Amino acid sequence: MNPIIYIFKKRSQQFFDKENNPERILILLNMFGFYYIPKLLSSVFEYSDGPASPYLLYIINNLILFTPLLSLFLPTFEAKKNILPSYLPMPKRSLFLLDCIAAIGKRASLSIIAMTAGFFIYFHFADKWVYVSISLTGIIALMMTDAITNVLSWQKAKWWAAIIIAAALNLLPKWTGADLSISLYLKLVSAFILGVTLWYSYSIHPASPRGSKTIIQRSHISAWSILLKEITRSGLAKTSITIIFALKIFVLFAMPYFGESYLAGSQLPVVSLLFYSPIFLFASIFNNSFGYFRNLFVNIWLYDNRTSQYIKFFASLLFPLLLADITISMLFLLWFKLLTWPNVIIYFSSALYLIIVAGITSCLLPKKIEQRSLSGIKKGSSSWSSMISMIPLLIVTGFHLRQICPTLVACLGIAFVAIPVLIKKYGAGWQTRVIQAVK
Amino acid sequence: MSAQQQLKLEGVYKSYNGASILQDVNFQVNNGDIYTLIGKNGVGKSTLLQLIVGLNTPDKGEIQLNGHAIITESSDWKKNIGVALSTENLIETLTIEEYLTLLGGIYGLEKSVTKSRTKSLISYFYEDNEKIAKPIKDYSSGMKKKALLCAALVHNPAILLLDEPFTFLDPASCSRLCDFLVQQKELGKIILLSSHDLLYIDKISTRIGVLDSTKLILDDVYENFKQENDFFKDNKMLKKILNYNSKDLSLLEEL
Repeated sequence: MNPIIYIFKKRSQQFFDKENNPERILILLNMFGFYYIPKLLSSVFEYSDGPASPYLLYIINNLILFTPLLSLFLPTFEAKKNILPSYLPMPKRSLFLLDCIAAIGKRASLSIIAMTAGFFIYFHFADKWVYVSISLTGIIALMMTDAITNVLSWQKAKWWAAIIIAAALNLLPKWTGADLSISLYLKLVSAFILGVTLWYSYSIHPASPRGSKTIIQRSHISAWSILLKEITRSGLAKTSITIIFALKIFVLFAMPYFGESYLAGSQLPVVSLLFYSPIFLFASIFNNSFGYFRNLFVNIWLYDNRTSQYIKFFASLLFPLLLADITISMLFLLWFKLLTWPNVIIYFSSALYLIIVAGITSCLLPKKIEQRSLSGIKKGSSSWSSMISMIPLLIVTGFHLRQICPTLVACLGIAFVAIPVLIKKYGAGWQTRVIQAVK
Repeated sequence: MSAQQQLKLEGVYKSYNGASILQDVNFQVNNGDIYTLIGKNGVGKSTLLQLIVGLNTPDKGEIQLNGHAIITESSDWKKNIGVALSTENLIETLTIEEYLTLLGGIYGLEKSVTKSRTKSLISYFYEDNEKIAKPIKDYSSGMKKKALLCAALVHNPAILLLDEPFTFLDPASCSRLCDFLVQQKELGKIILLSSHDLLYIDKISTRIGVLDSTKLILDDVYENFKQENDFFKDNKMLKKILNYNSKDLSLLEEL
C-alpha cells in the first residue's frame, strides 16, 4: 500500500480510537460552537439575499481568519514533530502532504471549516463571488494556522513578515473601501504568499535546539522557581502567554478606536466580554505544552502530597498570571467608565469558576499519567480540562448578553456543588495513584 | 567481501548557539569495519551520527562516501543507510509488523520481500514470548529498541549508523545483536556505532574513536587500542582521557 494512504488509514483509526474520546468530544463541541456563531450573527444582521456590505464581509472575514485565536487554540500550539523521520527516502512533498493530512484532523482546522460552512448556510448573498471570497478566507485561515505552527515549531522567525503581510492583505479592503474584485485579488495574493510560507517554513529536519535554558541553582529551588520554570524555559509557553496578554490589551483598548467606542455604562459586546474574562488565560494554562499539570504533579510528589502544599503551589502558579489579567481587565473597565458591579461580578465569577475547573481536573489527573514517565501525560488530561473550561464560552455564545451574569453565577453554583462530589469520588484514590505512578 | 567502500569525515565542525560541539573531526570507516565511538555523555557522539545521517548539517567540513561528498537529502544516500538513533522516531501507534510494512513501502521493496524480511527480523530479535501484536507505545524500552533496529535493517542497507544500540537490550539480545553485526561486517558493510557498553565494544569493534571536549582525541585500530587499554584490566589511558577518577564517593557525603 502507498505509505501516505497507509499512514492516513492508521491515523484515521487512531482518531476514532477509544482513548481519543475526550479529544474527539472537544473537537465536536468546538465545531458545533463555531458553526453556531454564523447563525447568531445572521439573526443579529437579519440579512438575506441583499447586497454584501463591506462591513459585513469584513466581520465574516475576521471571524474566519482569527477562529484559531477566538477558539482558545492559540495556546494549544503544539510543536510539530515529523510523522516520519527525514532520513527515510521520502521527498519533502510527501512528508509535507502527510503533515497537511494530519493537520486537517486538528481542532483549529475543523473549527475553521465548521465556521466557513456556517456562513455559507446561514447567510444568503445575491452575488456568487461573495461565496468565493468566504471560501478563500477559510482556505487562507487554514494555511495561516499551519504556517504559524511551522514558524513556532522550527523557529523560522523570518517568515513572520510574510504571515503578517498575508493577514494585512485580507484586512486591507475594509480600510481602503475596495470593492469585491480587489478584495478577491488581494486574497489570492495572500493565499499565494501563505502557500510559499507554508512550503518553506516546513522543515523536514527535527526542531533545532532552543536558546539557552534557565538554569535553576540548587540553593534557589523554591516553589516559585520550580512551578514557573516550565514557563520560562518553554519558548512556546512564553509566546503563548505574551500573545494572550497582547491580544487582550489590543482588543479591549485599541479596537474601540478603530470601530465604535463603548458607551459609558453600557453592557459589553460578546467578543469584548470574552477577552475581558480570564478564559483565554486559563485556556493557555490548561494546555499541555504549558507544562502546568506536569509541574503540579511533580510538585505534589516532591512536597509529600500535603493538601496545604498542593494549594500553595496551585496558587503560586495562578496568582502572578491572574494578577496581570485582573489588572488589564479592571484598567479596561476604569478607562472606558464601565466599572459597574455586574461587570466586576462577571469577571470574578468566571475566574472562580475556572479556578475550580483547574482544581477538579488536576485532582483527576493522576489517573491519566503514564506509569513509565513523569513527563508522559496523556493528551486526554488537558482535553478534559479544556472541555470543561469551554462551558462558559459556549454559554456566552449561546445566550444573549443580558443572561450572562445569572448564567455565570449558575455555573459557579454548579461548580461549587460538583467539586465536593468529584473530590469525594476520586480524591480518596488520588494520593495512592500519585505514589504508585511515581514508583 | 564487496569492493572497497569508505565513509570519511573531513574537518567537521558543529556548534549550537555559539557553543562548539564538534571541532575538526576527521576519521574514516571502511567496509568490513565496525567503528565504535566512545566518550562521555553529551560529548557529541549522537550529533556526529546526526550529521552523517543528514538530520543536521555541519558548520564546516565534509562527509564523503568513496571520495565524493555525500548529499544527505538524496534518495540514494537515504536508501544506502540504516539508521537507529532514537526510539522517538518510531510511529508508536503501529505494531512492529505494520511499521516494517510501511517502511518496506517507503524503501520500495516488493511486498513479498518486506514480508519475509519482517518475519525473519522479528523472529531473530524478539523472543517467542514477547507480545508484539500491540502498538509500539505499549512496548517495553527494550522491545522499542529492537523495533528501531529492525527498522534500520529492513531494507538491507550498505551502511549502518547506530546510536547506542545496546542500551535497554537484555544480555541475550545484546549478544544476538553482536553476532548480527559481525556477520554484517563480514558481508562488507560499513558499520559506525556509538556505545557505552564496554563488554560488547570489546567483542565486536575493529576500530575505535574517542570523543572528548569536542574533539576526536583518538582514532585507532581496536587491537592497538586494546593493548594499552584493556577495559577489564588496566585501562590507564581510558581513565585519563575519559576522566574516570575525577570524582569520588565523598561528594555524596550528605547522603
